[in-house]
Amino acid sequence: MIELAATSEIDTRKVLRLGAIAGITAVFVAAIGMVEVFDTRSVIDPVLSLGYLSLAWIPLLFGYRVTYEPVLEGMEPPRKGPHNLIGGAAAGLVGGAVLGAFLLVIDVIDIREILLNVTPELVGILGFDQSAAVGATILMALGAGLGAIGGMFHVLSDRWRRAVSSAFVWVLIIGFIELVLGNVFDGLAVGFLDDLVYSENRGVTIGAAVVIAVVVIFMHFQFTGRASRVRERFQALPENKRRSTGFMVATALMAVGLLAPSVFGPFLNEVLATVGLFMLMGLGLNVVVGFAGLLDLGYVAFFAVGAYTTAVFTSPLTPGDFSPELAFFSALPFVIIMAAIAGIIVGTPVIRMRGDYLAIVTLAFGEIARLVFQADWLKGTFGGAQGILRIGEGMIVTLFGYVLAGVGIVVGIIGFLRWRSARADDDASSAKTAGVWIGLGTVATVAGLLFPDFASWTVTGIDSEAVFRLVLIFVALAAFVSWRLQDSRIGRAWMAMREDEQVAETMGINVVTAKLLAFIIGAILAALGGALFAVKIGTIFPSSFKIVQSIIILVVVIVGGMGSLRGVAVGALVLIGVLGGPTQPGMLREFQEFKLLIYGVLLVYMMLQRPEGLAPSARRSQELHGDELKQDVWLGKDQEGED
Amino acid sequence: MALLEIEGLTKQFGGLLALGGVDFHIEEGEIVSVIGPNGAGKTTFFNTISGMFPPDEGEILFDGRDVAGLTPDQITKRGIARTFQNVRLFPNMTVLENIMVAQHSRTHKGVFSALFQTPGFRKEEQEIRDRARDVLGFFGTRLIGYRFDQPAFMLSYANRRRLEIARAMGTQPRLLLLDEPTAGMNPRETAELTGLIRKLRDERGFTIVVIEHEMKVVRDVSDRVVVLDHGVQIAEGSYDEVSTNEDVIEAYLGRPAESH
Amino acid sequence: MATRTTSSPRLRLNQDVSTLAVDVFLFAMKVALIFFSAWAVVGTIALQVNGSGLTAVAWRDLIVGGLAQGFMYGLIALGYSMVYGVLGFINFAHGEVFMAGAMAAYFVADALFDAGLWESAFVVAVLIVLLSAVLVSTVVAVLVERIAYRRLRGAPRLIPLITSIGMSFFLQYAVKGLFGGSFKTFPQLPEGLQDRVGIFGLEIEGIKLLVIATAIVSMFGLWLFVERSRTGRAIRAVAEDKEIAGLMGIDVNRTIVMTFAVGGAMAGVGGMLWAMLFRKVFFLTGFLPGIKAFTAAVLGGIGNLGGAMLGGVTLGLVEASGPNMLGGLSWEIPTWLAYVGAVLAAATAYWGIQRLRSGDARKAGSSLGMVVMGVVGVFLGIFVLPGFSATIPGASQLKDMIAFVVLIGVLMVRPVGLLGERLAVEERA
Repeated sequence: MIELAATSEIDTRKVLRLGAIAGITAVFVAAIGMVEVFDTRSVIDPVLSLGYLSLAWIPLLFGYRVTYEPVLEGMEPPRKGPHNLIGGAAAGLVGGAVLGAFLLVIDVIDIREILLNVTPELVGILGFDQSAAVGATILMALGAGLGAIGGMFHVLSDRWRRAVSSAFVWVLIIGFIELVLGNVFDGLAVGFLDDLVYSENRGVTIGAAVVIAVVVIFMHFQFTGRASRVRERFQALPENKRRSTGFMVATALMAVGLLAPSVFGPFLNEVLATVGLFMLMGLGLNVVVGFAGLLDLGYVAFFAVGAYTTAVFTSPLTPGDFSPELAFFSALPFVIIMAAIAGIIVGTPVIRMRGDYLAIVTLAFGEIARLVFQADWLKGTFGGAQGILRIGEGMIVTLFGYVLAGVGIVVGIIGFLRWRSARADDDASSAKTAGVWIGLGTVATVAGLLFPDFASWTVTGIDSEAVFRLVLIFVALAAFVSWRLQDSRIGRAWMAMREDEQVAETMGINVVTAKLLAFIIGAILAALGGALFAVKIGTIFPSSFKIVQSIIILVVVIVGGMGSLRGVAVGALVLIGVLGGPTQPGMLREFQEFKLLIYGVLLVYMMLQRPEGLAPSARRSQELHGDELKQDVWLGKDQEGED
Repeated sequence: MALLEIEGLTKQFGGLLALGGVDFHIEEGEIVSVIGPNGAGKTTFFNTISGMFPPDEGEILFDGRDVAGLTPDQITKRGIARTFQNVRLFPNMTVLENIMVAQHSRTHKGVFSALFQTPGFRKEEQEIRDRARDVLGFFGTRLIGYRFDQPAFMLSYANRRRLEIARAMGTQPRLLLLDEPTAGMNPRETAELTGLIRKLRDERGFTIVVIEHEMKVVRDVSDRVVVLDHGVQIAEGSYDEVSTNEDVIEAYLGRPAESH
Repeated sequence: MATRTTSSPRLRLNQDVSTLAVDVFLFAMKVALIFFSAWAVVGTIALQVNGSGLTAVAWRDLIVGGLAQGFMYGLIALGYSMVYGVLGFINFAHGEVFMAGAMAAYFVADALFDAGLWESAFVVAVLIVLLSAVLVSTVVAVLVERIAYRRLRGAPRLIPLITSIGMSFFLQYAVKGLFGGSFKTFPQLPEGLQDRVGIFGLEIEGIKLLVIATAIVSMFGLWLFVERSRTGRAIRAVAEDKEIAGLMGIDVNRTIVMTFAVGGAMAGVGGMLWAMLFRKVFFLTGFLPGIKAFTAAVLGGIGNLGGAMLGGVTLGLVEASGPNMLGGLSWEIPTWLAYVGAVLAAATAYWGIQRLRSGDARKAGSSLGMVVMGVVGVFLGIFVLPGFSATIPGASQLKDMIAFVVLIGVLMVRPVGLLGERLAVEERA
């Protein structure tokens, strides 16, 4: 009786359709070579390799989706029951059958001529080293089992569902970050932990996996709601307290970031330096795309301008006669000026263009920049395809004393301004604070000027630890600039322009200046990224500035959440940190071949499912998940019917 | 001298003559209604004055200076603000931000003061905020309190219309162009808004041009009525004069002879 | 009464400074673009007259090559134009649809070559190749629509654009992953197509002739389809107004799918021709032709099918002759011509001043631009340009740049393209 009721609730067509899609996805993953390449990497030793994981998520997800019903306002929540399990299993079975069929086919027919990656090794992996028929049966059974587990998530209560999924996720994360944790353990001289958690194959040992899962579930039940309560308390704070708390958190993060490289190994620091570079450029693009709503696809042009300006100004081997051989920091002002000029050159023609034309024209500018740097025509200045070598001699030196003096002067000026306004308002206590600022500023300036060589800091391009610290300082600067601008008159103007340009103009906003400003600021941040890139690598070629670069920065911004500073940080850490940049490797080196594919998929997925990004700004999440929109979706569903 | 003085305003779209030489003037402190059947060119009239597209011919003198062909932001800066027929707020900005951003042309702190949060910057921000609260207070309790921080898209239809008027007020104009402010409102809301339009003039001193379809509103608010049809002015005068004018009745109801 | 200001003798810059500056800068960019184009063209002609230009045969080959390339751009551009006309967004992944067709053409042709059919029955083989290329491209185009774009109906323009960029990436690297990243070499064509064929008294390579002919036939077929068939009418109706078309009983979803299918088919034809002509295909084959075809679509007015073809051919010709035209810059500008230019510039400056005097804000930007560029022109004409010449080494490397410069130039000067956007309904009241 129960069985009957259960099966009647399963939509056979949906099972078949999703099962088939699952199967095709699995075949695609296998045929593209992912399974084979990933198989060498263990996640949970010895049961799960990354290769099998790249297949296993498919029945899990589709098993869950097959009986998924959106919960809508004013409707009964969907019933839970065995039909969830059965539906999931059925879909998984169909998916497994498709993959099994593929296995049978490739076992018999050699199609390597066309599909390069369908190798005998793949046949072995898919068939669990059994005969193809047995392998196919195992695949179907596993598909059904995993599909049922996916369906089981419906049956679990909300709390358990969250607990179990975070346990899954944490085990996987810890499996993935073996490199980081290994480094940290070594750095903190607790290397024995490494052997405890990880096996020789770099995967989590099965015992450790169980422990992690149990701990995560336990923590989940113990601490659920804590985070949101903390957030609520934070939000309840008065404005200035909230500000100072935020500032403290940022400072703490910065300090951790500055110290972290010491416990990391060279490879991780290399990865982190790349992450920092992309964070910097992501922050810049975020100003243009996220704040002002201008889809700039040629962002790499500014990056290139920054890199080439640095190269020409610092390298002793510049192809032309113009070779000032400046130090890195002395070259920076020129980088900024050139970037601003480039921003104006690219920004001006597109000001009156429609959004999508703007995107394509900026893309054209990006390609033009590369072609110009590459051409023999300007070889005398930019070195053509041979690029420029020995940039900044791979060395950056700051005289800490001068930096200190500079900071002191700024602090002093701010103190003076505050003192003046406090005097105007007759506010004695503010005036006192301002006095302290002035005093500190003066002391710092004097000390800095007296001992300019004090703690001079040498950074070489190959010293990834120092490079990372340097990059981090620039990132902090960029974040600060974005943060301050976002909440100001110009930030509001950008926001209005993004919402409705025509109306913004009738409300008194000069869109010409607003757009140009966005372009210039974005260009400067990208150029700083380019400058750091150039000195880090020491050599630049035009081939480093392909369109791929622009798109990857765009993916970072979009995956993180357009207009959100936190989003850019998260996006850069997750994407660049894990998968890597266009040429630079990330933590999971196995992904090297596939990351551009994954970036493409992510872009599509985010646009379809989570256009607000992983870590959206508060505003965006509200806008995209507002109650009204939910209603609209519901109405839309009603009209369209089943497709 | 009239606050706004328009002579021979002409605008063509392709072959279509949207405005065929309109003359118009409004004195400081007046409320003038512009009426006319659909497609008479009323909204084009507003679009041209507010600079969304430049007129082909004609002069627009605002406060004695020619503003024809200026960009919309400069026209706003000189003191003309408008609302839109089909409510075009900044939906994802909060109610307060919608008004704050409208003060753009009245404020001037740039990038550097924002970066260093100079005292002048903070003072200006505070002023912007205060002024926005003041403007929203004009609508009674409808747009204040917790509504300040609500995104505009969450507002009810009538409140969106109100917010649009408030946003126009936020630009601190001398002349307000209201494009069908009561469209889509129920009778009670319409009556309330009618009162508000008069209050806008009486308490805040705005000069107002209203495009309106609701004749009751036109009768209640306007000092003078201008009737457009096919891009030309066909009548002008008090509500009573205009409402009995034969050309106007013809424009609305069609020529009796043509009905055959 | 109104005080008349129009007759005021004062110069009146009745505009915001930033707006003026941007207008002047834009004006300068346009003038520079036109100046260099004119110099290149005149220089090329002058060099030709002097006898130091290319031979007639070289020119003929350039033009025929440009035509063949241009027709292929046109075929791809049709897809951009149709999708833009109907859905109003740039389908960035269309270049990859084209690449899929080229890839399919390679695999089928290779298989047929191995089977021996390529040599024994070439016409049949080519038809099979064409059919499979069209089929694959159509399927890819329709799938992309189904997976990615359908759920984005009514979203802001940039959302589907970003989605299509993602799709484009995905398709590129999926093809790379599945079929490998190396160049695939298309089988050798039969002798008859490699040789030159005499037509209209000209000797033209057979393959290029084939490309041009196939493209023209396909375009004609498309034109018939859009203008005459029921589905074609539905497409046009949906392009005008989706909602009303729906109310009129047109199945909007089906029509949109048809649009993608037809655009995909055209790209498939293009892909097959590309593979045959250049005989090299790889996973990035679609990128540059894609962007260039988009340029062609914009050039002719996006949404306008006739314009797409015209734009394609124009771009092909400009691109083919472009590097050679850049050589025209090496022509020394004669002193007398520079002086004539200076006089013209002076006249322009004077005219600009006159226009500024009218005090009309509508013209302030361009008038000021005329004055500034006029003054600059006088200076250049007298002191710099006489006897001036520029040699650009490796001009052929800049070939790809030409399309981009054309794109920027067209959008700067005339954003609606040469023939206008026929299908786009944009005006907001």
